[in-house]
Amino acid sequence: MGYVAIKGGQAAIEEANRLVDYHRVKSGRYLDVETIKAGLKPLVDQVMSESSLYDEDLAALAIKQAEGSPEEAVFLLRAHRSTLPRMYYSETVDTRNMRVMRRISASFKDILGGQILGKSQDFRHRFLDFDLVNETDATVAKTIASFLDLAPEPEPLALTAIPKVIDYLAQQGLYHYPPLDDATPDDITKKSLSFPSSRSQRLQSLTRGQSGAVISLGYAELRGFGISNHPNIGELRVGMIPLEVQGLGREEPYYFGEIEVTEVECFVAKEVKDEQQQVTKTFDIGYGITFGHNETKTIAMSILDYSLEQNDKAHPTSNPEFVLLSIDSVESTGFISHLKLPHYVTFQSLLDGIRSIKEKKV
Amino acid sequence: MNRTERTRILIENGQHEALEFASQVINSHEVEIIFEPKEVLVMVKLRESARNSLCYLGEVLASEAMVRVEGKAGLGLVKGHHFELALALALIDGAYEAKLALSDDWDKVLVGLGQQLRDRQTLAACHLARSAVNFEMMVD
Repeated sequence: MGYVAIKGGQAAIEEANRLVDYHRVKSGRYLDVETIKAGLKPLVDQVMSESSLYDEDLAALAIKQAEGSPEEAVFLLRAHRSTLPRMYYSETVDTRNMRVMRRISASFKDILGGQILGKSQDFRHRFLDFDLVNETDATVAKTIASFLDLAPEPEPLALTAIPKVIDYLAQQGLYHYPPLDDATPDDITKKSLSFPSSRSQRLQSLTRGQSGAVISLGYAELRGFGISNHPNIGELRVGMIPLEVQGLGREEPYYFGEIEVTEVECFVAKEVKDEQQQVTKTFDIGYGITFGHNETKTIAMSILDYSLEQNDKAHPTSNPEFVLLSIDSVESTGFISHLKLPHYVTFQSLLDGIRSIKEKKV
Repeated sequence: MNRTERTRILIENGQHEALEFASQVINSHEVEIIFEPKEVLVMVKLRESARNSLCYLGEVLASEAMVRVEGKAGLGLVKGHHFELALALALIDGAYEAKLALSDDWDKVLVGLGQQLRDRQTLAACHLARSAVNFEMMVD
């Protein structure tokens, strides 16, 4: 059977696009970008993290255009990003300089700098709040005033340069700081991911991974399909990190803004042999960091980071090829979606094959 | 005041003043626009704490402009889409590089703006302190 070029469907495609435009606003209501930024912050953060592009305005616009679909919004942002020139690399960010807004440890009760719950849904009852159905400008103003009217604590918390929990672990002799590794990182947006992968490739892939995929694989790791069945959260931080570039090659860096990130260091106990070849236990660290406030994804990233460092192909979640090639939003949704495209020739070929086998049997 | 502190204060608490400073430069000195404000990306390089290695976190959208003030190049760079501010920052950067007398007056304003920024962050830290955990030991 030969290949036959066909065309058609152009008018139908135009009408399908028109239907998208119509259905987005058919109720006569629409969301503006500022409302999305103000009221859907977790979604904005998720989209920025998965698209690997930090800009709240563009993320909110993408969410609006995508009618709230994260996968479509991420696709839009990744496409837009490809049209922009990258003119700078930031000075190396050290998260010790984070201005912390939330910070907890599940490993130590008393940590230097204290545990700061900050903004968190963790302690809310999961009951629908039907008062929100009738929310008005007046009720919103009342909520704001009731927060601001509460007397702040007289002493501010020190929110910058807070020591890390791993510092405490190191003081106890239970963790040894690795030497500084200044090797230039690989960049998967410039050169495709390859295997065996480098650590920088793995971290970059994980931080921009689809939240659901990263969380699911992190969960699979804990359920017994990986090697670390229960890591401890050494420290989870949410806060703002300052960004600087070496503008015009001058000695003094140029500050150009700050971004919100979530960072997790998870502790995993592991057996090692000491100098006398006796088996003893120490701790290893799994690392997670994401744009915005994305706690569950960042914890899962730290679990997978540790797991992938072991490169133990007996466990799926320690297999970089399995994990890293599965979690990218655009690649996974794109490949699944391609199944909707016409496969007429390949399917006809399959049918011909089956018919031929049946005819031979008859 | 160094360049890092100056740009931090202008961006976080002095956007109105930045536009004012820029207009002073334009009105009194020779200015050449090397390129008009445009959107660019900045890749964030990070040192992660588990292995102390370097990696890339992702890109940040920024607005960039470049000018020459009295023959000295000035850079304007600010996170997000803020073309007017990027141009103003470039003019101010160029003015400092050219050591214009104007910039001596700006330093006093910047010190005040910096104090305002610290006060604002202190108040936020006091509000946040209400959510700091105070563990109590239960003793028999």
